[in-house]
Amino acid sequence: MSDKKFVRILIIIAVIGMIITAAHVAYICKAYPNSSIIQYVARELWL
Amino acid sequence: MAVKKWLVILGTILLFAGINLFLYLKITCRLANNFSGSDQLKMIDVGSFLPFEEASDLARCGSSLHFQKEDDLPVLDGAAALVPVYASVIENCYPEGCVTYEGGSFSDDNYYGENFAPDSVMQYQNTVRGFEALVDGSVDLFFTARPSQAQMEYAQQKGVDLEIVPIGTEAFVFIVNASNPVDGLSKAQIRSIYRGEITDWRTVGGVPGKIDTLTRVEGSGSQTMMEYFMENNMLHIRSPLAIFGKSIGYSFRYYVSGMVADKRVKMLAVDGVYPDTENIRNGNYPICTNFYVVYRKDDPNENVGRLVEWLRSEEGQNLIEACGYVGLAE
Repeated sequence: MSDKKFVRILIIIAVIGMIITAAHVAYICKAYPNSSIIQYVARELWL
Repeated sequence: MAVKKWLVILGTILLFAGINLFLYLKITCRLANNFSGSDQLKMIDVGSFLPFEEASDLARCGSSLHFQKEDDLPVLDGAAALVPVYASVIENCYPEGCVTYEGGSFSDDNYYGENFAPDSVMQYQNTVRGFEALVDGSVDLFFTARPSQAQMEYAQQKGVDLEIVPIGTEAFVFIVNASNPVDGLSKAQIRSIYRGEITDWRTVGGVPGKIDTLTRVEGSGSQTMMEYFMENNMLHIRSPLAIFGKSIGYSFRYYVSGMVADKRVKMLAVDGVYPDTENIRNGNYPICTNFYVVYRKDDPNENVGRLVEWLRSEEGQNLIEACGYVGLAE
């Protein structure tokens, strides 16, 4: 794999990853204030 | 060299996958409404509490007060947690046919949920919008926890004098996950937690880890009660690190133990007293409050006063108890 191709793939993956993460965080910011506290506590993970 | 490059690519993919998996497990999978995936604002399945429906989960105690169709029927609205109470009042005191729906039948598919017609005696707009409807005059009686300062200021701005009458007793409770080893806290500890002075569960006898202090939207009944409990000295901004911790939240007892009961959640004892009906009734639980009906002093409908009087009578108090609440302390 050439360096140019490697950098291009890396940038594409990083951009897609950032878009998905930003969308995920945006959803959390929108949904969190209206979510049920009771369900939020109930679904807490205890391992 | 090529292997290294592929490892870097794989590592980058795993990095983003890891971040999103962490966010999902810590937050996203816990974001939920109790009854609806489509409407995050719904806090209660009103369809289970419709008057004059056989399958409805309402108290049926009978009543010596019974309005007729031709009477000027008071329009009732209230907070989510009190829907069973005022729907049961309609069931017992109102004539059939006075609860109507836009389109003819009940639906909860709208943005705010329920489709009560404007001429229906039962409305459900929840605390914030319902209180405004009371002040603006489209609702006669509003069932609620303690009205917030902002709500009282709204009424004052509109030049409306309100009568606030207690009709029952309720406990304000703190909740944690059932796996949390902490079973109780003192009032002082709770206040310190919500003021950011205690930040680790270890300090109050739990497993080491951050305390994630959950709050509710401003103007909601439980948030108003919390502000009152905290004497208006409460930290509103959570530490970002708190999402790594285990949560504590608050609500009213009936909401936690009845309407949306979940075995994965437990109520905490406060100052060593568990919030069961007995401890509320005898006044041992330290954070009890009344819930109220609120109405405009200038409401010309004389049936409003009759209904309020009935709610405070033995029959009315029996109905409140039959709904799972605790009546007024003797």
